[in-house]
Amino acid sequence: MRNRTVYLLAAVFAAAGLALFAYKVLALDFPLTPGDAPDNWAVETRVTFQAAGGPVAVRLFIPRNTRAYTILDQSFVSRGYALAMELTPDGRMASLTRRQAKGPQTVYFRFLIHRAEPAPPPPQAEPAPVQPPPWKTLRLIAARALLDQIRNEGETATALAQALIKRLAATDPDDAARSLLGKTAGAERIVDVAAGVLALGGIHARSVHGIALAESQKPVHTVHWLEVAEAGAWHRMTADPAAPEVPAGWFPWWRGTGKMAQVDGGSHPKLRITVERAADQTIVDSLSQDRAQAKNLVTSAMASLPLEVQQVYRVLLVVPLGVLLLVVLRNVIGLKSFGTFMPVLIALAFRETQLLWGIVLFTVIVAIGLAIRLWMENLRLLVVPRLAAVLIVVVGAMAVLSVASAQLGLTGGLSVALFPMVILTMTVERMSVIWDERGPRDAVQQGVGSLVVATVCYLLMSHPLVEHLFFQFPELLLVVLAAVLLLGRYSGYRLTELYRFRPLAGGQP
Amino acid sequence: MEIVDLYRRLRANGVLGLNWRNAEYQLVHNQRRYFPLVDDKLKSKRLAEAAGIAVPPLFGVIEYPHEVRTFDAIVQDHEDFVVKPAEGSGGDGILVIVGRDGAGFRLANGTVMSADEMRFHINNILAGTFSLGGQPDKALIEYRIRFDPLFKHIAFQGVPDIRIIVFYGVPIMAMTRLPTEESSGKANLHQGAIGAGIDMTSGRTLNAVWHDRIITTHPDTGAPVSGVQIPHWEILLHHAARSFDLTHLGYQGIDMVLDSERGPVMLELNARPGLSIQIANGEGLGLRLAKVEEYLQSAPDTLALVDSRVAFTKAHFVPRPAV
Repeated sequence: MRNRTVYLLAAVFAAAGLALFAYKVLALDFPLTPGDAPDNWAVETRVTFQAAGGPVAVRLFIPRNTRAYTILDQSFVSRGYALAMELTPDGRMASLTRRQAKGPQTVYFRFLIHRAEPAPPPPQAEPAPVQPPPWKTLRLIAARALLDQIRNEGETATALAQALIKRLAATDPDDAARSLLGKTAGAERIVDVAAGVLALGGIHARSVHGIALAESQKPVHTVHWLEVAEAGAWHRMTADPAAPEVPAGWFPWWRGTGKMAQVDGGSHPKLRITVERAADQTIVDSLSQDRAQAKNLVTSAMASLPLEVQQVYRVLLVVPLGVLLLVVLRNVIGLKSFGTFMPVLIALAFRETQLLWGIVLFTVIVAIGLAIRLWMENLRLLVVPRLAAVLIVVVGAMAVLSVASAQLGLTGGLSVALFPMVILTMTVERMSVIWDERGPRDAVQQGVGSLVVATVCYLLMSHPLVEHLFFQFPELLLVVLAAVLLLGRYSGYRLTELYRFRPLAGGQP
Repeated sequence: MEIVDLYRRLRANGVLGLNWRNAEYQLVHNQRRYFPLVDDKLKSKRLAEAAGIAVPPLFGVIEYPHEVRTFDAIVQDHEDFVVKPAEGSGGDGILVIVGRDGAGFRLANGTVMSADEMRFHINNILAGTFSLGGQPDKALIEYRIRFDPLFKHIAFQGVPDIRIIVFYGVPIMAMTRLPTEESSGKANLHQGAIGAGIDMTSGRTLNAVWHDRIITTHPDTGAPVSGVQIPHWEILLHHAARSFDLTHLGYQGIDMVLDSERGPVMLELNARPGLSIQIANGEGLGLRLAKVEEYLQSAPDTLALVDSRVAFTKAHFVPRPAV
């Protein structure tokens, strides 16, 4: 009776999940593998600020079609704001205005871009008159001085531009360059100044700002480069003389010296851009409206979320599979580990640290924590203060590791900050009790067991195919749930028990 | 395919695995509301006392940190005693004090613990260091068992105990756990103690297992460990059969010791008794459990009384000839 209910539930869940999965694959042509995703990217810009209470205006550059990129779909999420678009010489600009707003405000702008393959030839330079920058007195003199310095260093416009950038990007720029760049000269400032100086010399040049299209879990920074007209075409170069080639994934967003977003009537503006390889299917929908209705019905759930949240779910949706694996490793194989879900949480941290670094960092922190915790036994501390002390030691060890690896130039060590410190603390505490009561062998054995389980979980959870499947087909969660329910009534031997009980296997089979 | 074969043989011999025990016995025959009766040793002690089963006399209970001061008063009249967490598991956190050494306490393994260390240990118990799930716990201070001289040669520095698995009041299988030097006086098999199966009909020890190996003599003393008659076997069987009426847990283990003055004394009950008892007996629990289940279905009345349960055990659970 009990078993029948479990089997029935599991069958219903599995059937529902697999049916939806099959429908999406067979009838709606959802791709099964992440490999055949077209070169599409979903970009989301989030502007947050504190509105003062009066009228508010957000001005935001928005990209437009180029030869290399097509904007497939764009949308604003900005409740209560009126939207207007205008075309400026530096790019398209959206104005979001509201007569009155107070308190924290958030404006989202999302778009999807498609990259043409193969890359088209460099765009033609339009024969517009050169606009010199509105520089006066000191800066004008400095710019002229720079022009004089580079005049002899090249024949062509690009050669001159390269010579100029070399001077501007030097670690120790001369006085003329410094007076134009100001105190903090990032790539953005360098290309803006370079465009201005070249324009002063009658060379058609412009600074371009955009983002790098790459898979990333973190907000992206803007990138900047210079375009110089020569022989009727734009030639591109970065602000880094050592690597002047502009990478293929750099997507142009706006031009000139303006800022990407400006907020009037608000304070503390913050800009956050996230980029993600787009969920392939949604793009195809917007390209061809075929069967779009049915697809939207089933895909809208995940695709309607903000990109940042989608990225969180890319991780969250694979956790159930990791937990299923944990159940198998514990209840079918018979591995021992600390804490029920500790290995899965450690595996999640491994996603950020990479496997090898993760294992090294975990081992080092637990070893340090354990050594100090075992020594602390002499201090006779009460339990809760002792746990707190171990937590502080763990956090301190993490900070020391980060600083040390930064000094040594090992970037992998920095990611230690992503370890779940409370879990590490509890691991250290459990391990020390086992160490005292059952001996070091048991403690180390279980510690290594936990690490092995975490590693296996990580390898499964970080597989691109797994991530793709669970994000595209969240209904697979039902199948995982069914499997967990069935395992909940699994009464067979664990693999390790076969070994443990083998003396009892005598007699007739 | 050897694994499949091994799997089949174990199943055929009725060897219980952890999943099988949990899914078919512990979760099915034990109701959650009765768990506190066995998880809290203070509660099971009082139940047993009320039912006429001897338990180690309780000297005192410390429940809150401010009561740790009362420890000296509790033990002032006792030269030796045991300190244990009420909800401890696997023998963790138990201190056996065999005597005094000035202001300090001498432990069973010969080391001396200062009064300060003792207070620290009790505080650790109260904070839940040794309890299931880290719940705040109580510390029990009770009489130290002086074990039956019969066990002198087959136990090293500790108290050998007798565990009986009981299914709806029917004693199913028994073993005695003998401490060794390696287990530092503790009776836990995975710490190096010896487990010896017991013939349910006669109370004589069968094979003994040490680290998954079958042995016949004690590794420290050289005394034979099989064929030893457990004294008071009848009483032990009757206590085990009665334990079901105390807790209403269908599947449980009862741990008893033999005190030289008090005879069989119950130490604790266990809702999740370990499975090593099968290795010590060279036999699986499954077939015996199935036999009881068969009678529970067809003739439950025959198992209603303590005496009839003991009779059932003696009639049905004859040991298999040694393999």
